[in-house]
Amino acid sequence: MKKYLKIFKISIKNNVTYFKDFIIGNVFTVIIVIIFFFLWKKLYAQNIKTGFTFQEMMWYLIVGESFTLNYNRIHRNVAQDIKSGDIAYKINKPYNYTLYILFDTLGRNLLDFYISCFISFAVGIALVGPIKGYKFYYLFFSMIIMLCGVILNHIIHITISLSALWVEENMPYAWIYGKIVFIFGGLLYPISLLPKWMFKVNFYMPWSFVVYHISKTAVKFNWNDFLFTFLGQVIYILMFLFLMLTIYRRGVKMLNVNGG
Amino acid sequence: MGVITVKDLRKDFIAAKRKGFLKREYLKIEAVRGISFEVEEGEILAFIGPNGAGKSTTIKMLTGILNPTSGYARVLGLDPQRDRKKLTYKIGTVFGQKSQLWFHLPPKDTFELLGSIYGMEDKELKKRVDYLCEILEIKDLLDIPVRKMSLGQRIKCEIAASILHKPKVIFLDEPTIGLDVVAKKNLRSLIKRINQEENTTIFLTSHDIGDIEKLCKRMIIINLGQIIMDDNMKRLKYNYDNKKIISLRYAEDIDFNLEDVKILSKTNNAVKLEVDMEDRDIDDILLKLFKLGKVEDISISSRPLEDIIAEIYSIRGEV
Repeated sequence: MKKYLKIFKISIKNNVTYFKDFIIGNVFTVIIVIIFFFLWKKLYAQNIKTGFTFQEMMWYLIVGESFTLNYNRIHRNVAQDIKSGDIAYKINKPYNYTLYILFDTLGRNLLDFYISCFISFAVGIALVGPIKGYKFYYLFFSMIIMLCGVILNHIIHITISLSALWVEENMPYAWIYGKIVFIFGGLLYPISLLPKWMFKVNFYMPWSFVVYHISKTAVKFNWNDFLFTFLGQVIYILMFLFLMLTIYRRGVKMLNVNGG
Repeated sequence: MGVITVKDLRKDFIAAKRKGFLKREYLKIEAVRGISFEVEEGEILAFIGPNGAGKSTTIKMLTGILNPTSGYARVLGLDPQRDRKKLTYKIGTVFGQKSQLWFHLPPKDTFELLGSIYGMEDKELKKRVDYLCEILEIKDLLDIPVRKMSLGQRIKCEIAASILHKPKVIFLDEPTIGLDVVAKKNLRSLIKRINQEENTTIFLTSHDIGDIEKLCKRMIIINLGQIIMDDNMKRLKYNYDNKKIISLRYAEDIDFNLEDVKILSKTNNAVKLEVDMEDRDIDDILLKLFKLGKVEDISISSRPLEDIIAEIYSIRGEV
């Protein structure tokens, strides 16, 4: 584990160089939140029923946006490693390549995560103010499930990225997963707005533990939801870790290293 | 038993070829076609061949990156595929065109990371880094971000990163590619020093004949996935160096007319010839050349190794 933590640490250090990029990238998040603000304001003016107050809805979307980071890097990097042949350097070390990618990208995205949270929350306070009766320790526990969501999303992304071991170009698969999270994971709206049967199906799917359950629990905090979300995330993290390692073990045998 | 043993090693790749809009045809490419050889401990072996000969594929099979289609390979008694993790502690690799250093950070950080990856104690790591700084002359580079280094400086740090864990075998895949003459010369002497001081076995592929000439005692030539020659350098030169290059400058213009010699270049009073020594005596040729006019300058040299190897590629390439 020590070596993976070291990878995580060095990755943070290496990516401080991109600090300006992170700030610029978050300008887009601010614009999205402002668009959501006007859009939902109009919808709420028509007495739409969502199960959330307008203020809660805004915070739901802000929380979701704040930790939906730039995951494109993961599949792009894995595909690039394979296409360029750089993977030759990365897999002949005494560690597991997929765990290397996991801790490397977690290190890259950690700073992004904090900056994104800080900016999004500042915009939320400026636009709709804090939720009445919200206790500080809710935020602390919400941060735990947010981090678990980030880890789960990373593992799912790496699992999908490993398709590059067979087909080199993994972009289409990552794109489909991104859209599933957007529509059925609760990033665009709470999935409780979907038709009942669709909501029921998606409620237990891994992608809803990446956004929906986290944002909902963070906004309407209660211990039952927190425990359900946390346990669901742990189960899915373990499941996808197993899947990721199994796919890698099989895929690496198929590897066709380019560049020499 | 050698540190590397290879018997009838094969690697096939399947490549898809588009045939029409939806149809695809699958082609089998035999990258390595049943090669066998052994490398002894402390040896510096040149493993050379033209592009696409199967050099890098062989290295990748020996380092556990690629799975062979069939055959037997052992490196330090380990199966590179089955015991890949164990093997990584004992071997080092340098791929000249790739980098394992963190681009925005100084090499010191990569060394620390690699130290953790290889499970080295802090004290042990420090001692090793100090030693490598001394032999590779990189002490002043330790705190400079990799992106600010020249290629020569970066390659030195790449080598340090690759041998940080004291590997018993180093695979160098075109380590001098892109380096200038001085950097190449330095790097070659460093490789030699590592080999001598630590008795490290070095498996070298390079297109640069200078690397091979200066470093290796033995050479394996591979072409189209097959070994076409496995010989020591002295014997190779003896067997193939049967042609001499003679350059002459005469005091006045001459009418050059000599049979059985190949004229490589000619001006009014100077000529460069290639003479096949298999069916001619050197004194006989020289006598005839001196008779043509007053000689002001003469030099006799062997053919460059590069030409000999090119000839071997072309003669024995179609096995």
